[in-house]
Amino acid sequence: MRRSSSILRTPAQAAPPILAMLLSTVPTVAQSFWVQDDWTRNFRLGVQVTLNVQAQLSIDGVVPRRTGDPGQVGVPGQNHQYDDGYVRVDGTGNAGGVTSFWGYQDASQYDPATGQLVYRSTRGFSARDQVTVDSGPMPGLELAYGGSLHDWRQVRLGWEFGYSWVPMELRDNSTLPAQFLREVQAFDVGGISLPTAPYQGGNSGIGPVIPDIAKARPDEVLSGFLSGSRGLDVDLHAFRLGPNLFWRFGKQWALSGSIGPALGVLSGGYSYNETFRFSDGTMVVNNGGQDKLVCVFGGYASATVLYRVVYNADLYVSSQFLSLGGAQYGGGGRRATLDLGQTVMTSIGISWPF
Amino acid sequence: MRRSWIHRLLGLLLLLGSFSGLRSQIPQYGMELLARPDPAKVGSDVAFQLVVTNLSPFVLGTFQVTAFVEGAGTFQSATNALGFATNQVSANGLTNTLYFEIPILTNNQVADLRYTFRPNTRGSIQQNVWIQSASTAFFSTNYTTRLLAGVADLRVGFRSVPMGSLPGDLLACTITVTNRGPDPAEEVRLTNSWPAGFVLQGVDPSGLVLDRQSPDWVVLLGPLGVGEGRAVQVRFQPPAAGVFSWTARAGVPDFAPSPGWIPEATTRVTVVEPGPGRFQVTTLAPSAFNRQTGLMQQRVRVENVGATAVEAVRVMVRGGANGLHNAQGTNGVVPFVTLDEPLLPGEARDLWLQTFNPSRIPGPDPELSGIEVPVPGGFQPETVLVPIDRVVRNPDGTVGLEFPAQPGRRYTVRFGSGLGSRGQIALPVMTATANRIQWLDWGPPLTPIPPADAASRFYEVLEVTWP
Repeated sequence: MRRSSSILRTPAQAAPPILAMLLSTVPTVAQSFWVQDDWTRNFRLGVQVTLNVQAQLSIDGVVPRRTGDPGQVGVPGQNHQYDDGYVRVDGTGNAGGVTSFWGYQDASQYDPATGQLVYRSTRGFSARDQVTVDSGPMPGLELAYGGSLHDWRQVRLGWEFGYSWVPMELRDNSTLPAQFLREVQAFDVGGISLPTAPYQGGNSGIGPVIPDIAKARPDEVLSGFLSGSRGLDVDLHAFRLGPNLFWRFGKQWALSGSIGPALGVLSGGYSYNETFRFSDGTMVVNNGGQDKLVCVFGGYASATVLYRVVYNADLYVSSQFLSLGGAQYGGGGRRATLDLGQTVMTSIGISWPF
Repeated sequence: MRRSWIHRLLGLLLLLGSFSGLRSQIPQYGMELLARPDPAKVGSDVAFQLVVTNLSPFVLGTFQVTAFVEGAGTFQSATNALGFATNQVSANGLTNTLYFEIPILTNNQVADLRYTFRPNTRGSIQQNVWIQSASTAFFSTNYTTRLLAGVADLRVGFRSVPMGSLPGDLLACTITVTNRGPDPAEEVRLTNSWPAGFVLQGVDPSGLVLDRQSPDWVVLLGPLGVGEGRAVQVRFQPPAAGVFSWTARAGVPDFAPSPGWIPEATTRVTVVEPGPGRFQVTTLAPSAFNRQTGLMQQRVRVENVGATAVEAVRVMVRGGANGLHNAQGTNGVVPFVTLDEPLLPGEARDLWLQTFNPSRIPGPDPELSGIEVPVPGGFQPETVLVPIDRVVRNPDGTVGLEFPAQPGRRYTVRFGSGLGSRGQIALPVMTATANRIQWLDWGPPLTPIPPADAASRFYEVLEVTWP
């Protein structure tokens, strides 16, 4: 049964202080209208703030470094990539056992005693750290679509499907003491006059050339600090579906509640943007990460207050409790656990009944 | 009776008057149409002044001048000090009919009729002017005023005109075109007139539209803003010796230069036959790989075995499997280096030849020969100074320079005996393959004599920005 009621009050007169500011933007021409609750569907769009998301980030033990392949020693025709330079295969295929495709960063890499250029490649580090990071308020977006199943005049029973998008960044910026393992290799320079560092040779085959066979030197273990940041960069896509109870308790006011299961899809993953600061004063940048798609399940409960602004649009304020399972990230000494068990989401926006 | 006499007298006067009137019934006019500016410019006002003089020995009444002005444009104003002027625009807007009327135009009186148009399309303004007086005599004539899209004074110049060339050399020369305004030029065309037989090898930068219409050929340079310049490098091959005149002329369709401006330049290319000098060129050692340069390097000796001193010797290098890396030029398909230092009879100089061999192993010795040539020169690249941050005097007398570079960009070294001297460009221009270049002055053919033999030698490193 369809019904209607009439009001002649302006929205500003009827609104509580929280909404008064928003309602002040409504044009005066729309200040009197009929409230018609004959809708069977509604659509909501709003901005959302998510609270109470936490992540536990830890580094424990030896963390291998996956970038920069120093290559094999004693083997010609190899590509060697180091923290402080490179020796690669040039356009001639390293004809004559030499290459023009090499470079180095600092004059200290030349060892005059042996006539060699020394290169270092950090293969990993050891550190220990565990920290819990709270997200703080995180902005996002909410969409919801619902329908009516049964109507008892001021109360209706329906259903609601909702979607929330929340980009999350939970990072640890602490500087950690660490022990670093560096693989060391050297190349004879063959008696050439080295170009001044930093030098970056090309692959043309023209220019100063050095022999291309790496010679092993003892690995180095040295202390230092790990600075920069590490943590989670994920997007939460939360879907929910459940029954909805709608109660109009005033001329323009209504209350809605819903409860049901929820599904969370997490895209993104663990990333780090760090700098190795060695005790000898040198530094190496270490960037990387690992993305994956994770699905977590749980449930939700929500309550929504709606205020009819014009005859076919409501302003709404909604609060939602979302409890989803945790997600695990990391590997190789790095670990991160995302806790979505007690997530609180508050949103504000517009609802269109139709 | 008296009245009858008067009537008879009047009749006689009219009869005489009619006889004299019959002689001068045909009116005579002088007419001149001036346009300012001429040619006119699209978008700018053009003022026409129509000067009509009554050359008839009698007064003309109800004197009418009609000007049919054909050409898209906007009528601005018209004046007629002796009468009135009106204008009527045709429905399609392409014809304006200006009508001037003068009540009386006495003998030798001048009618100064003025009107102004603002043309809006290129082409021309065609005018038919009709003159009519009360005696119904007509006079018409046609005028055409050319319409320009703009006025641009294009300055043309030659640069890096080769010197000391032989027939068959692959040469290059730069032509610059600069727009001195006052209007931006839309499609600048560079028309070249050069001697028959010159072979056009190409124009850089590549991609320019080239219209090869013998004997002239045209390069479409595209638009040039006011103050903007563009340079093209022309690669060509002269077939024979002689002094050849080459004229380059810049123009823009429907544009004209300011009065007196000549948008062209002429240069002379001198090509000579080799001199009579005789030389013996021998290799001093097998080719060897140089780890400092990544190149194969071979020392050769050129000896003047002729009877006369020569200014310069060109060493032709044939048979090299991988080309000559330090070639300073090419004749046909044969690369060469030049010793531009006088060589007396019996005197010898040593030179380095460099080749890039991807296998980095020596190849067969090249076939070498020497010919007498004038001192080469003329190459004047546009450059930017690059700081030298390392200079090394080596024990063997060579001098090494090191400077920062950007891979792919080109560099050269200018050297001279003093700071104030203009210096010479050391050829060839090198292309950077790394972020630093080590340049070694070992003497010929890079520089005329080894640095150790020079009283003093100063260097500056230049990045070649053109060509």
